[in-house]
Amino acid sequence: MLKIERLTKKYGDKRAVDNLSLTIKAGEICGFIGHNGAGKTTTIKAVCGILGFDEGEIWIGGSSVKKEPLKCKKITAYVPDNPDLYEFLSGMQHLGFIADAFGISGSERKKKIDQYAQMFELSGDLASPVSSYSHGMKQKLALIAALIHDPKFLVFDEPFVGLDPKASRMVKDLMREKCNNGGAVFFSTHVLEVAERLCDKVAIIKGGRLAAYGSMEEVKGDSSLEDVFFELEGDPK
Amino acid sequence: MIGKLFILNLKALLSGIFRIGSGKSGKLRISFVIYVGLALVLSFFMLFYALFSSICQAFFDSGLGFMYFATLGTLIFGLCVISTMFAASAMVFGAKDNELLLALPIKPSHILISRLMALLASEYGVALLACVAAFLPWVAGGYATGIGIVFLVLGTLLLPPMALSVALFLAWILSSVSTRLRHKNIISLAISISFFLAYMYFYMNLQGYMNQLMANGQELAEAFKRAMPPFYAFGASIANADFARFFIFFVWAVTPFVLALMLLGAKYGQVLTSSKGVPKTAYKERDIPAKTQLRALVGKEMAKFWSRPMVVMNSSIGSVFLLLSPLALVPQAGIMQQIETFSQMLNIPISVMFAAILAFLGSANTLSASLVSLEGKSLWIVKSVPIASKTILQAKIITHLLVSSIPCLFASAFFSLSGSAGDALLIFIVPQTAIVFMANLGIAINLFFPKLDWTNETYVVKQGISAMIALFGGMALFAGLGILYALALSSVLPATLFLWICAIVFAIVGAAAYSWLMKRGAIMFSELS
Repeated sequence: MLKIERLTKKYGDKRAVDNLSLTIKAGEICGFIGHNGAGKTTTIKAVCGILGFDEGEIWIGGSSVKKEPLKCKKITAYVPDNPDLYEFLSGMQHLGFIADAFGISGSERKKKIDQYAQMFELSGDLASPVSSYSHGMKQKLALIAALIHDPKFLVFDEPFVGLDPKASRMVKDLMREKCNNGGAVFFSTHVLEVAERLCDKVAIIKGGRLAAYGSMEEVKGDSSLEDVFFELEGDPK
Repeated sequence: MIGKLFILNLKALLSGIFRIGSGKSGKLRISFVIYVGLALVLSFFMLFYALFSSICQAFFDSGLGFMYFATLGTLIFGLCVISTMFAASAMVFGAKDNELLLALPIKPSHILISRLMALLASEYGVALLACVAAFLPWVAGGYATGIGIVFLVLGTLLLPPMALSVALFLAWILSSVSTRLRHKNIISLAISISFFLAYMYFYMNLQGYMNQLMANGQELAEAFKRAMPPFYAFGASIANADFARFFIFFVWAVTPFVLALMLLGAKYGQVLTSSKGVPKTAYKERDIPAKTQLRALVGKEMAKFWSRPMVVMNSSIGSVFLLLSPLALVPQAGIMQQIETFSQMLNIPISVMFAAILAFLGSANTLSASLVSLEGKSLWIVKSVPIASKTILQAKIITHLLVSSIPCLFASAFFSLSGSAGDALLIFIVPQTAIVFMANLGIAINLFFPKLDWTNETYVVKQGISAMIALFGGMALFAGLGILYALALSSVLPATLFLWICAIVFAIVGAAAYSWLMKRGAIMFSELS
């Protein structure tokens, strides 16, 4: 579903992401872990076609992000770490805009919006302006907007920040369900316990370079993901 | 801490102008911005200088010297209030970093003072320009005195704080009204337009007031003295080197500012934390019609445009004028007489005058030059969905056209009523070509000078370099065309033909800019982050 080959992104002379390669197959959830500023968000934005990159190549569902960005975006869902949504629209108008962008029919969008809005308990707030939403509500709206076109590939940047425990659980279930139906998930998180329980694969990034990558068992072996992470970071626990 | 906060606020104000990249191209752009900035300062200075040099001798020779400086005082005060009121509403009461700063161990009064200092800094810029423009003819005419110069300097330093206290009061009303009402944007917009129209009415009648003053000097001077005592005191103190009058002005200027500081300083934390919230709207299940990507994007752009009175007032002022322009046809307004006089004086058909005026008003809209920047931190949304960059740019062009072309067509319909079919064609088509030209060019300018990390729309639509280039560039272009025709072409080319040639050039350049936007512009947009 996702293939990143020798991805390099520079900001001036600094290499924010350096020669990073990884692959996620259909049915896999891959956790992306690293300290702040390690290059997680830069990688995720490059994958979603939001940020250009200097070297390497990214393929989603066999299509190049560079050459066929629209084809890649059609099957991808992206939720950023801090969802800055259209505050001048109501929640429903925001979802309507996203549905129009993906060319979803009126009946299909109604079905999806009703389904996810009820699931995230946001139905009653959809007529209110996004500017009146709390951080968690914006996060839920961004998730509904991301799922509205039934994407095959989910890319989430810190998806659990701001969500209540019930919504967090639902997102985890949704991620697993998506993979069971032939999709794939790539998400960043700082919550190592969640990554350990949820992910099939894990990629640890340090200073823009991949420090560890493989199946959860391969990466952590007999220790915990937390131990491996701190060992790679060179920090005592 | 106040100093650091002041620098922070000043940086926010200036970043809209100067934060335009690094490296060689960034430096080139900064040089360009500096040249544009200097040209703007010079233009404003010339405007003020023309006013004061034309009234200086008349006022002083008729013994009404105080009115010369009273005019200066009123001008500085009015400009400062208008230029600061909306910025104060956004910066003092509605800044996005208010919560962040309140969470830090900083006194709310210090936050307030730092914001006021930034606003004062911008007001002093205006005051300095007007003051120097009034100072030069005064000294050149031999009317200046040593004490007068000292009072002029001190008085000019006191006018901005006085204006700021009034602007703060108006901003507080605007902010209070807009946070408590459901249709706050419409109401804020109505207040803003009313205020602006009142100012324009005063400005348009300024020459008339001046003439009346010259004719009935003493009588009106007495009336002015009674109606506007602070400005009378300001003028009289400088013109007559009068200590007592200066003290009166000092009290008038300092008292409201100190009161505003005391009241707002004591309650600022409470003001910022007493948000009433937005009234919740009940959700009713209904069908959601599907739209094309382009229609959805235009709908989004229009919703954004109408959601912020600040954006409407600053980026589409030409449309406001266009909608009001048919009032000029009412004989009582006296505007038609002036246009006819100009038409006869310059030997230009009235239909050409109408077409040129409407084209000028239509091109005064700078919305397109802000639409890329207004994406702000929400840019990721349009970049993460499968919409081509050129479709996004097309939607921005259409948005500018909707905002500008419809009011222009409305105005053209009125102005073409009495002329021939050829006149009507001229009045309808020429302004539309100017609008198409500005729509495409504005977006191209904004792609070269994007500003996406704003905390308030003001920094984009009011102080953003691309909006400034579009506004003053458009004005300079129209002035240049007028001068070119008057000085070089009027003897060889009929005015109607010249205007048609201009329209063809606007259309060709607009089409070329559109073609560029669909290719290179789309790539530049996709590279924004």
